[in-house]
Parts: sequence; C-alpha cells; structure tokens
Amino acid sequence: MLSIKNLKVRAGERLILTGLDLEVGAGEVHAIMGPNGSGKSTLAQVLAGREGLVVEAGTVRYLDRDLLELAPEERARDGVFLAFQYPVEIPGVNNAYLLKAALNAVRKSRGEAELDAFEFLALIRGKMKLMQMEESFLNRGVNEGFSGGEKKRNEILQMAVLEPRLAILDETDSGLDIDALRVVASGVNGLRKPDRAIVLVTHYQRLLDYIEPDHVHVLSGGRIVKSGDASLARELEKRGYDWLREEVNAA
Amino acid sequence: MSAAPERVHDPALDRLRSAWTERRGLGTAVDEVQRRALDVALARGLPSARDEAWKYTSLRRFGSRSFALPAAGPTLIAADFEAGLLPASGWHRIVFVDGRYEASLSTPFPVARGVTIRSLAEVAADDPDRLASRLGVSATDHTPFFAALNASFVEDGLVIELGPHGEVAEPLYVVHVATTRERATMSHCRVLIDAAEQSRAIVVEHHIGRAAGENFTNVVTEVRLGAGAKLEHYRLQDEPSRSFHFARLDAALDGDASLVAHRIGLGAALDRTDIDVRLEGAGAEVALHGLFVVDGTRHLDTHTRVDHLAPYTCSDEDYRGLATDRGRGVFNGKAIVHPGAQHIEAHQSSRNLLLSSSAEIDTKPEFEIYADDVKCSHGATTGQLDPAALFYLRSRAIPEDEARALLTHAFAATVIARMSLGPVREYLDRALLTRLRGVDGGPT
Repeated sequence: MLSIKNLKVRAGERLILTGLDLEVGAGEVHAIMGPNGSGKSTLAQVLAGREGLVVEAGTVRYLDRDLLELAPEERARDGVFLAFQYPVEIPGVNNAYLLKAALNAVRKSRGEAELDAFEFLALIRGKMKLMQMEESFLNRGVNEGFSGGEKKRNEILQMAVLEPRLAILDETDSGLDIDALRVVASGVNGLRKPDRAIVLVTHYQRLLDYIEPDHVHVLSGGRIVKSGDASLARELEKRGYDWLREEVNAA
Repeated sequence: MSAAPERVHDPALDRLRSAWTERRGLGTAVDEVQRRALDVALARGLPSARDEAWKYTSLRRFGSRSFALPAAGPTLIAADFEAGLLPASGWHRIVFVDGRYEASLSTPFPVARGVTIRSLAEVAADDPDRLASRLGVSATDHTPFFAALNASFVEDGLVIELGPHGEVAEPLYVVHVATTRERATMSHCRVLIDAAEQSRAIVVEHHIGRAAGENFTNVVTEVRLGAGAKLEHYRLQDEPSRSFHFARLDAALDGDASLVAHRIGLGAALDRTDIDVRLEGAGAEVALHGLFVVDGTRHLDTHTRVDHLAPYTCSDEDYRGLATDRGRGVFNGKAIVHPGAQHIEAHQSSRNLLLSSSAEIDTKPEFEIYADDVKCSHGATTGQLDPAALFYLRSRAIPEDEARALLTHAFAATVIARMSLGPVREYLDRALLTRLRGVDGGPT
C-alpha cells in the first residue's frame, strides 16, 4: 500500500530524513519509534503533504501512485489521514461543519453520494459515543479550547468518520492520561481492517500495550535502523534507545 | 510667476455652488441655515492630505467628478432593487431613492404609543423652525466638510422620535438606493433619531445601488439617547463598486443610555465613515463594531471618536478588516477621557487580515486620558492566514481555496456573531463566502 524508498527530506538547512525505506502492506499496523529529533514527525508530515519540507531524493508510492505529486487535500481525498501531534485550534470554523465538509469531499472522490445533514448527524452520533465525546463538541470551533486529551480524541473521531485507507498517527499518545489513552486505543483498534494500514509514530511503548503492532521500526538519524515485531518495542522500553545507537555505530 | 495662492481654486467647489442654486430645498424658513452651511462647506474646502484626519484617504478622484442633483419623478419599482435587500420579513421598510423618501416603495410608518416617524421633508413642512435650528448645529466653524455639505443640500431624510418608554418592536429598515441616470447622482440624506428616556429601537441603514453607478452618497445620522434609552444601529454599506460613499454617525448619550453601532463596509470605490460618540451621562455605554472587506482597488476609511465626559461610562470598539487585491483599509480610533470622568472603561481592538501582498492596512488607536481611575486597552494587529490552520484543513480534504475562504470567514465570524439580527448575519455570511472564494494566494 505504501512504499517509501531512500527518502531524503530537508527542513530549512537541516536534512531530517537521510534515506528512509519503509514498506507498509494493507491490513498491517506499523509502529515507528525513535528518540526525540530522529525525524518521526517529519516522516508523518511529509506523507500528509506539509509545505516547507523539501524532498531531496527518494520516492513514495501509495496505492501505485506517486504520493509526493499530490496536494494535501488530494492525499486526504485518496484516503491518507494524519492525526496531528498538535491539532490546530481554528476558532470560527465549526467542528461539525469541518467534519461534514471533509467527509463529503472524501465520499465524492470515492464515488459515493454526499450525506445530508440528517444522515451526517446519525453517523456522527454513533462515532462520538465510541470516542466518549459529548455532542456539544460539534458546535464548538475546531479544537477551540479543547484540552489536550479532547484534541486527540477529536483526531481519532475525524479518522473514524473519514475511514482512511492509510492512517498515520503522530504521537497520538503524548499528553494523554491512562483513561483517554484507552479510549483512543480502542478507537484505533476499532478501525483495524484488512484493507486499511495504520502507522503509529510514537516515542513510548505505552501506546503499544493497547494497540498491538505487526511491525516495529526504530528511526534514528533520519532512517530506519532496526525493524522487528512487537517484541522489539518491549525491548526498547526496557533498554532505551542508546544500545541501538551503539549497535548502529559499531556496524 | 507669483507664488501659489494659499488655497488653490477648486473647480469641485464651483460645481457644488452652482448645483446648490438648483436644489429643491426645504422651504424659505430653512433656506437661510442651508446657505450658511454651504458657506461653511465652501470655506473649508475638500479635505486634503494636509488634514491629519485625511492623511491616508485621497479625494483627488472624487474631486474630479461632477455629480448631478437627483432628477424629479419616480424612478424605480420595487423589483429593481428587491434582490439586494436583507432576507427580512416583518421589518418596517423605509426606502429612500437618491436621498428622497419614496412612500410607494415603503411600508407605512409604524404607529405605536410614543413613537413618531416622519420624513424630513414632512417635518420641514410641519415645523420648519425646529428643523432649521437642528440643522444649524451642522453649520458652525467646527462642522466638518461633508457634514456641512449635507446640511446645505439635504432635502429629505427620516426623523424618528421616541417618547419616554417608546418602543418600535420590529427593526426599522432604512434602505438607501442610489440610481444611475444619464449623470452620476449625489444624495445628501439625513436621519435624525431622538430617543427619550427608556425608549428603544433597532435601526438598520442599508446602502445599495445599481451596478454601474458612480454616485456620491453623503449621509448623516444624528442620534440623541435620553436616560436609559437603547439603540442598536447598523450601517450596511454595499454600494456599487464605483460609488463614493461618505457617512457620519453622531451620537450623544445621557446617563445609562446604550448604543450599539455596527459599521459594515462591503462595497463602493471609496468609503469614508466618521463615527462620533459623546458619552455625556454617567453609566452611558457604547459598543462600536465593524467589519469591512476591501478588494479590487477599494478604499475604506473608518474614523471613530468617543468622548468620555462622565464617570462610569464604557466604550468598546472591535473592528475587523479583510484586505485583498490592491484594497486598502484605514482605521483610526480615538478615545478621549475627559477630566473628572472617573471609573470609565475604554477598550479598542482593530484586527486585520491581509490576503494579498499589494493590499494595505493602516490602523491607529489613539487614547487621550485626563482622569486617573480608568481601565483602557487597545490592540491593533495586521496579519495573514495561519499556515498551520490552512494545512490542517487541507489535510482534511478541504481544497485550498475553500480552506482560505473558511479561515477568512472565521476571522470575520466573531464580529458577525455580535450582530443581533439574523438576516444581517445571513447576508454577511453569504456575501463573504461568495466574495472570498478564490482570493489569491497572498504573499509567498
């Protein structure tokens, strides 16, 4: 589904991704772990199409298309979803309005009929219940005045509504207490499907106690230095990242 | 060659002088004061960049045009302008065509206890001396040019008198329609609102016109609010894109009176609006809210002045502007706290969004404070759309131009939300979303 080869990405003067390779197949859950500054968020953002990141080399294929050629909104319409590490507050843009506009844009590109206000409300009510969100959220500005946990839940709600093919979660666990983490994790687990891939970008192993990944990758110095199964995450939790750096340096 | 004279001979003033002799007038009893007002206007001359209050607004193009007095006879039918009206039903509609009241296009003046509403021409016939003395206030050495010009040319308008506890339940919807005939037309309409103690009303003045019109609108609204009276006033300027629009709102408030004035500027080539509010009685409060859009080569200038003359008075100003293409917006807000006006609050905020690199905003708050127990704040910002918010919306499948329109609308939404009348909010929502879709990308 997603095939990244030798990706080099610069932000300003700095080369952040230095030759990253990653293969993600349909139905798989991948965890990208790594110390701060290793390039995890840059990877997430370049996949969503953030401006200001310059691709120096490499290719990203998504469903047999050149992902890097597409504008952010085209990627979203084609099923790419990024759950932001820091969801943006947008006062004056109604949460429900954004959700409905986003959903109808996605549905249109999937060749499905747009939902009217009633159909939309019926759909959204069910999803909000799963995320344990009150309906009053709908009529507030996008993320306006939301707590950290509410913002993350709102991201997962959007994901549940948009039903992406490729979901990238950028540090979705950071700043969550254990109850919120459970809600978010069950939201994500509910979205696991054979035709959907999920990439979890995280610093800590904690989230992976609730969402069992199929593959775990360690990102360091802008590329993936080690890959394994779920047991790798537990090893990292025990031993930290330093042993890996030494291993890489020795190699 | 000798040195240039102190004031250069201005053909624009000659044209106004000769037009004045042909005006319809308000009768002999008012003639004298109108002549005095004309002398004041001609002596002052057109404001120029040398006047501090006109530093950013040039009248050169305006001064080069000539404007005819409105021709006689009925000129419009309702179908000509109805599509441009607010989606309001049940409001009292009062229509002026080129500054003249048109009963055939209006609903009957509302009748209620303690409420008297007449056209200004009717008042001139009934009570010419009172009108003359009222206009005399606008014919002194301190009267600004356009106010004096209005007093000298005015031939119709609206006089709203509310007695103690008088109330008009539905909004008074005053529609100013500018027409285009063979020649560009000028109108000098005057609206007088005298509201005695504890009375209340909502007045919406809406300025529209025919698309091709290069008209000159010069409107003056004078408000006097007695103790505890409440008025919500809207001026919604949506004139054709070549119009010259000059508007003035003068208000004096007694104790505990409250005025909310919304100033909305969407159209015209040039819009200069002056708002002067005198808080004369303790506990009087005023809220001045504004929203403007300048696109194309539009120029819009708002000057406000609030005089805090009594203790426990409050003023709150919140103006938001959107500038795109080569549009230019000017805001100057002055608040003066006079000696002895203790325990007052004066807040002012001017926020602006620049949507293109050749648009321009000049904003300047001014406070003069001569009392010591005051709470004052002011802030002025001019910025661009937040790129993080733009990316967030696009990452949710919203196309870029729509995302820009959404964010721009969101910026205006807080001011729109403060307008109590649903039809005004609806009109603005629609106007903004159609106007802002596809605005260019801004500075890169």
